Amino acid sequence: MTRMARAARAASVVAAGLVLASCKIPSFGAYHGNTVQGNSTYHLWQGFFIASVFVGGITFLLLGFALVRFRRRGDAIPKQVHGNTKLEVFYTVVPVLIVAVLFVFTVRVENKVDAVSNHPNLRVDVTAFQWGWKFYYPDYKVTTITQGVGAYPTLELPVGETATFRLVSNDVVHGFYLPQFDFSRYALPGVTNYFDFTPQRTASFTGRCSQLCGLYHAEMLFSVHVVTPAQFARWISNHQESQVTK
Amino acid sequence: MAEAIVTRPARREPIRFSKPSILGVGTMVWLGSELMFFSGLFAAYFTIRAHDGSPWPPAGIRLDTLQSGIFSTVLVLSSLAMQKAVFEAEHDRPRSAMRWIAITFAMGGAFVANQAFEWATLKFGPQTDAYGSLFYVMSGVHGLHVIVGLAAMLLMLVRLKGLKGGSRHLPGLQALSYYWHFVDIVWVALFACLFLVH
Amino acid sequence: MTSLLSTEKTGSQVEESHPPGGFYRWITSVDHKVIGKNYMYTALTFMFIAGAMALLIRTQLFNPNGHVVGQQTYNELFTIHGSMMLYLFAGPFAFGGFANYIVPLQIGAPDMAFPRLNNLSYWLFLTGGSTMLLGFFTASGAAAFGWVAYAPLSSNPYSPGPGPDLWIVSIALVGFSGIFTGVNLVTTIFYLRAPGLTMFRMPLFTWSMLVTGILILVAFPVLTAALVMLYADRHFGAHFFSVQGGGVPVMWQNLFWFFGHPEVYILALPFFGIISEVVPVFARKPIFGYRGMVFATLAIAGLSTGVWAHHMFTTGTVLLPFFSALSLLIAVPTGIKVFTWIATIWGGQIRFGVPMLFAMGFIPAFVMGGITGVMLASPPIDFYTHDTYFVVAHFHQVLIATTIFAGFAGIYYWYPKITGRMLSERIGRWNFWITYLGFWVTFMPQYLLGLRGMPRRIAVYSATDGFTFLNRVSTVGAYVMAIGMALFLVNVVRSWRRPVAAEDNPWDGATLEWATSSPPPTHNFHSLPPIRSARPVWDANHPEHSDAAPVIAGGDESAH
Ligand code: HEA
Ligand code: HEA
Ligand code: CUA
Ligand SMILES: [Cu+2]
Repeated sequence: MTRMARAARAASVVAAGLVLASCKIPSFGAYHGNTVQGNSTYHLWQGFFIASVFVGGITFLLLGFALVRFRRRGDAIPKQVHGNTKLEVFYTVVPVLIVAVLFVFTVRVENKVDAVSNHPNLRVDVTAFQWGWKFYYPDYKVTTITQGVGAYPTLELPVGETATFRLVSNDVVHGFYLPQFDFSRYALPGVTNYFDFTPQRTASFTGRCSQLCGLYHAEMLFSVHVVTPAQFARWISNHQESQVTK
Repeated sequence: MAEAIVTRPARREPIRFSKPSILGVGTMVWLGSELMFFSGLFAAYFTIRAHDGSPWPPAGIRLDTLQSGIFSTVLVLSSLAMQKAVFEAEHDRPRSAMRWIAITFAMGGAFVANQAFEWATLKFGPQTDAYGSLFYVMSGVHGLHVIVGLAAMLLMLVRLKGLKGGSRHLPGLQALSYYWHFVDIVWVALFACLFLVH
Repeated sequence: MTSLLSTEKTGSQVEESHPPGGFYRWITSVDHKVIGKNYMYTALTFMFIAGAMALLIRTQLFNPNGHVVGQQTYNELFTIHGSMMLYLFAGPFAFGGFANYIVPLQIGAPDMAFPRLNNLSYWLFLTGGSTMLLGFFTASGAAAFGWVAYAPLSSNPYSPGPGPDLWIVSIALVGFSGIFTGVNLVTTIFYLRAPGLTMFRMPLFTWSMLVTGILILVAFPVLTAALVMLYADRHFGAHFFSVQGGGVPVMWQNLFWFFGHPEVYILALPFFGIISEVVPVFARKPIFGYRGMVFATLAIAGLSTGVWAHHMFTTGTVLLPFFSALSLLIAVPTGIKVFTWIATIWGGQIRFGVPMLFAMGFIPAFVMGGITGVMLASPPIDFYTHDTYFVVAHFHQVLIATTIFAGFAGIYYWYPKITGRMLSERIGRWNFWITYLGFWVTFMPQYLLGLRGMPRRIAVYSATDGFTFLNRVSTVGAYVMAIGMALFLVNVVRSWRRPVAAEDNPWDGATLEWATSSPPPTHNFHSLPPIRSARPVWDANHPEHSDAAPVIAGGDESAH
């Protein structure tokens, strides 16, 4: 009975940690995830981090205490204890409960992050190749593409609008990785991947290729600009003109 | 302090008909890993098939199922011959055991010969498409296993020759029979996948 | 102590295990002890070579836009560093080295089941290992596609040349070596246990090796199959992994990780076994919950065959909740082990010999890495951190905790048994503390680098990325670690130049390897104590605290 009660209490502490994971809690080194999707990943990260401090902390305290308290005091042979079924069941059941809670929160966030909208405001087709990116906006027939090492293409996104991405690869496996969105997805030959971004704040940062793809993997970068819808419209029309005149 | 007893577990086990020899146990453990090896190939087969929307095998692939079927039957029946050889050896009749091993060898050899003929006459290669790759690699590594088995049989024959009692080589022959049965069973599954299923 | 258990000791006993005849006899020996030692020397040499590559990697990353090596060379370096550490050091060291040497002793057997096969395993391993290194001497360089060799990068159009082929052949040979050792060990454990040594009296180290052996037999053949297909793609124009001919590139990842994830537990379980030997002996207590440990080992092995796709969360082609749930569940049996070790020292009389120091250092390092593994097992968090330095930090923490810290615990623990000489405790302590310090300084910053967005396997980063400072800390840590590791060599050389003879049972060990001389005679045992529990030598040496049930005169199973 008390065993179950203690287990339940332990689980509820972890759960509380996860629920409380609001913006007041430190980031623990992570980006806040500048999209609706990425932000929920960020909160999941906070929850996991707190749970980890809790689990790791207890483990380290027990270990540290035992090491200090039971260091050699003499030559007497200590009591030969072979086990204790109750204790063993306890330290099996409690971790099961903890990971069960972690799993529930994982699935919730996963569903949010993986949801693809039926009516996106914008569509972007991304093609990865050795060693660059092509971003194509089918609604506007605008393309930006890597022009050689050091000339990185731009991924321009309007803030607050949901964009659905379609990701493919022309050759080997690449990783479409946006650190500040707390997200990456493989570009696989023969597979088409879809996912959504709803950026929350205007920002600029570097996107990367995360999966080893050959010699210039390290330089397969792109710029990400999250801008206001007005700026976005201007950017689109500029590009439409320059592509027509070309 | 209690008495200490000198124990040195016997290295060479006496012949036992019920419990497998240490070589037999080792062979079975090893066949477990062989099973995983072929599972890897079968996994590839089913993955590629599942991804291929079109009819299977792809158009343009023509196989002589009847001829292969006959030689497959020969291979499967050779398992019986092999078992007979083990039985003869167990009853200390090495001459007869050798005869049955030779018969098994001939049957297995016929199978390999047919496969070589098949490979030489087929109109597609491993580079034709993924089915071709699967066909050649799967039948190829299996053929290699058959050849290894045949080589082991030759070795067995050499060893049995000139021996009064075959029993000294009984564990080896038993192990060889496990291997041979395994190779035959795998072929049944391979044959079903490569030739029969459409 | 009884005179039957201890034999007289002379300084020249080291020679006894090498029959006269010198080098030739030595390399053709089928004695499991000689082969085990060969494995250990060879694997440790590979470790130092791969460690030197790690230092080059870290030196390159010390500065932004580093140009210590070119990008191609950098890719070759981490590929061979990772491959060598995993395939040529960690596995062979534990499974070819320790298992070969210790398991027959622990079960009271005179040798392995198939001594000549054992010798073949070693030669396959040495040939395979050298083959991998040969890649560096080819015109187009060594393999450069990572230790995971993702197709289609690893297929011909993208990685032509002999370097990748040598890599494939090397892994195949080492794989066969592992499979043969697996067959050998599993058979040995099933068949050659001394009378009275039932399965549930086997030392936990032997249990770990049994389960590891089974896991090898399940996992490695699948890798071999994948390598055959890759080779066919490269040289016979096959289409297993190319979209054009109807192949499926992502299939490589599935096959590889079906092997690759069990592989990381193949590396971890033997070292867990070492910890389970060292901890009770140095706490002077039996292991807490023996059956629970056996169960946990089996559970880890079972679960580990069902989690492979947690390396593929970001492919968008796998069932996320299933693989996430199983990966999270692995924390449970692993936790049982950790808590069991803590419960074992609880109430003990802990002696901080060097083996214990490494074992106690192992626990926090491993728990830290394991917990970040649990984070990675959550797909959304993995989307964020996949293929970044967060993952690099995770796996180095678990790998180094197991293979280096637990590995050194095992070396310091069994060195007296294997060589008949003691290692210096003083140098051993420096060896531990400096390596340990360097370890944390190297890998903690890498977690933060990963969260800040630094991908792995990049030869250069830009000064504006904000990665510079943390990379520098990490590089300094790596050099500190190298100094600590070098002290191990110093210690070995010292024991070799100025030998201090070891007793047969210097740590008051409890299992059968401590019942024979140090080093053991060619046939391992002159006599065995009666085996009535999991700690026969303890029972013999401490009858008043013995585990075994009181002997009823004339009714003892081991008296025959
Ligand atoms: C020794 C090797 C080893 C070990 C033991 C582990 C252990 C674990 N690993 Fe790790 N892993 C690797 C080696 C290892 N790993 C390697 C080499 C890679 C990278 C390969 C590559 O891409 O190159 C990798 C990558 C890797 C990934 C993929 C990351 C990515 O590429 O994006 C994931 C994802 O799930 C993962 C998860 C885990 C988990 C859940 C465990 C668990 O087994 C950990 C369990 C342990 C604990 C949790 C700590 C102790 C437990 C307790 C104290 C109990 C209480 C705890 C809780 C209730 C949480 N690992
Ligand atoms: C058991 C496995 C193991 C071990 C022990 C290590 C040990 C180390 N590793 Fe390794 N590492 C891997 C397995 C391992 N690694 C794997 C699997 C990868 C992934 C590869 C891939 O991406 O495909 C990887 C990748 C990897 C990277 C990422 C590269 C990249 O993605 O770009 C880095 C970077 O810091 C690194 C660093 C280190 C360091 C500093 C050590 C240190 O701990 C090393 C300490 C040891 C020494 C320093 C040796 C001592 C040397 C001397 C005493 C002097 C020299 C001696 C002679 C010349 C004989 N490793
Ligand atoms: Cu593209 Cu890395
Ligand atoms: Cu894994």
